[in-house]
Amino acid sequence: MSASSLFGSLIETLRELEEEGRSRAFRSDELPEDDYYTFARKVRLELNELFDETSKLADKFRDEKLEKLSAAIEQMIDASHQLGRLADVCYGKNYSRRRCNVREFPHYSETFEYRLSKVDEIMKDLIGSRCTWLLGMTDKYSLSAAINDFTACFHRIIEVFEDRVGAMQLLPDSDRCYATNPNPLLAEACLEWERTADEFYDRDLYSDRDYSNLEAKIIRNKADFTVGSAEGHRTHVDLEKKVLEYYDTDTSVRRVMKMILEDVSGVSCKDNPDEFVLVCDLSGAGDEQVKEAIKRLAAATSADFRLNDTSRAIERPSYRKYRKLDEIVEVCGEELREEGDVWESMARCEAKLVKRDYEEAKRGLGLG
Amino acid sequence: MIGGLFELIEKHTWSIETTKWVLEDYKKEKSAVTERGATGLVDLLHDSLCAPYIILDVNKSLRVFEDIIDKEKLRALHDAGRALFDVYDYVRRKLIRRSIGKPLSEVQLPIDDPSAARAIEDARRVRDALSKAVRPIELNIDKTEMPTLQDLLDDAMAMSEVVVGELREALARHAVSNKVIAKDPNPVLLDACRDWERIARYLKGKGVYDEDVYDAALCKVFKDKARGDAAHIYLSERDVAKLYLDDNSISMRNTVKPFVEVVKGVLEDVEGVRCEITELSTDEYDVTCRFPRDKVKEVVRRLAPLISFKHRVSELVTSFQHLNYWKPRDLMECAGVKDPVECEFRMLKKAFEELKKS
Repeated sequence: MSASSLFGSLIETLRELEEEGRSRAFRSDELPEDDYYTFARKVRLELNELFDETSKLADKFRDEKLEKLSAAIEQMIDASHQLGRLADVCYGKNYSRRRCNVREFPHYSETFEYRLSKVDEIMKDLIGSRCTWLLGMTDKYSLSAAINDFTACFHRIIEVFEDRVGAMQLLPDSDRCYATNPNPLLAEACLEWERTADEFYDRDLYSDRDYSNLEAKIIRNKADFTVGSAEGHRTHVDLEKKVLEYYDTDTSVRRVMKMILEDVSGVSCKDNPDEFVLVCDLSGAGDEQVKEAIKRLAAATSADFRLNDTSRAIERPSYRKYRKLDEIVEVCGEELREEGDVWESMARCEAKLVKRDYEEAKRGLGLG
Repeated sequence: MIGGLFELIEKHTWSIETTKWVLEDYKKEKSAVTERGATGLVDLLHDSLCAPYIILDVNKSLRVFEDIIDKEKLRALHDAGRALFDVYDYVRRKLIRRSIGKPLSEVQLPIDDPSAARAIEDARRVRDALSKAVRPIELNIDKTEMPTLQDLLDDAMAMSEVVVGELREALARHAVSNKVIAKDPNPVLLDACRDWERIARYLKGKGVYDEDVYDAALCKVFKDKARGDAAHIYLSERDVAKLYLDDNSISMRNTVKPFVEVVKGVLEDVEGVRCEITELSTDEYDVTCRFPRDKVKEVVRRLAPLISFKHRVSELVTSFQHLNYWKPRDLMECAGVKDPVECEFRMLKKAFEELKKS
């Protein structure tokens, strides 16, 4: 797994544990001395992490398959707990993995088998076949067989996760766009969004914190953009439904985003203030326009901070009593463009404004 | 108007009138001073007895009276102002509480007390100064062996009225208009100052002046003993452009270099005017401009829009220095825009367009 893969290290650990499970099932004559601590417990911890990631992604992408997968992982977490207990009691009886019939310990085995049967059901739905081999096939169900079935399901789960998101890699030349089998249009748009964000950052339009949080995940026709550091500040794009949803509790920022997105031809947006979401219909937009709209998500980052600036500069009367922005812009374009000492450029600006005032007064008073 | 001095004098004249009326009322009715009455009386006494001191203090930076009142007389008025202030201070601290529950005419001045003796001495000092410089004055406190608080206040009030009246009269005698004051003026400079005032009044309506600074602005035309025809144009209470016809120069000082640069920028726009900025010390800059004789009127006129320019430069700097994200140049997109959201949209749109081009 390359370093540019988003879940590379998690999947690597899961693969190692899968290998460990197979090896233990195969070494059936061994006493299950440390199966609880060195296998089942470790598996449970990693499954917990996998469950967190999967359910988050399922929620972000509203992906039904990922939702089912997270349900299967949840069952596996409990099954791993029961498996550890079974290994412990087998070891207590001094039984090898093959010799130990887990059904002798129904308190644990019933739950274990029930959980695995649930995983089987979900897998049938997800991949068309169950993941266990021996569950429910014979009267005797050895610990070896139980570990083997558990590991087989574990393997399938990793496979499905990898298939849906696990292979999520950074796109070439990207530091922020992760993708799994991305729609090429989304991949291209993401790269443009990233380049735009970098440019805007270089122009000081972003706060450092917001900039460091920028990230996009693309799975096939869907994308999830993290456009800032605030909780709930996210954007979904679904190319199948041709919809872009921009979530933000700040009404002014949603207004800005509505204007900036509707400025792209073929894009029309509707604000839903109750749910703090701006829903944009992309069905009238061609590929280039869709790309442009996605690129323009770069406008959302730190927009709330910039709006504070903007309000101060143009709106608050106490902030500028004497000169109106229009007047300054009209007369002092050159000075506003200057990068140097603001006092000097504004003094030059004022001198120009004073000359204008004078000419106006002379005209108004009819002075020669 | 005259640098706000007229308004100040009017305000204090009114205070003196009111205080005199109140004191007269106490005398006629022989009414006792109440707790609340004592507090009110202290306020009134402050505005009326301290009036000369306050007016002359404001004059310190404008130096109007120096040009229109005889030196000796002005010194006498200054002395009177300070002494009346001391009388007020003594009354406020030592006497007013004693008067509560009694009519003022029954509150004996404790003449053995050093403070009271000093207050009486102060009143006599004022009398002597004014008698010499303005007209003879008789004091009530000198007509009796047991002077009362009523006597002292009546005397002080009368003398304060004399000082303020002298100042008002001098101003009225030399005021050419609201903002122009002249003594032996050169007609060209006087004419230039009149234009300067017209322009200032016109621009006031445009709202580019700070009200207080506009009130203080004034143009003085006089003959300087050393250099002859001169005009001092106050762009605020502290910023004065000094123009002398003997060498056709005008100069102004300030501690902020960009401020003198504004003056240079504005005046050099007049044909033939050349300005030089000199650093006098690390804390002060001087801009001196030389002008052709025939441009004197134009130079003075151009100073009118400079009234309160420091406020405006500071405001421009402050409003743009507060920009954390957008640059001043970006705001050029927002001309005519009142809604920050619309402004933000325009700036973003421009940014996207620039990116596309690059």
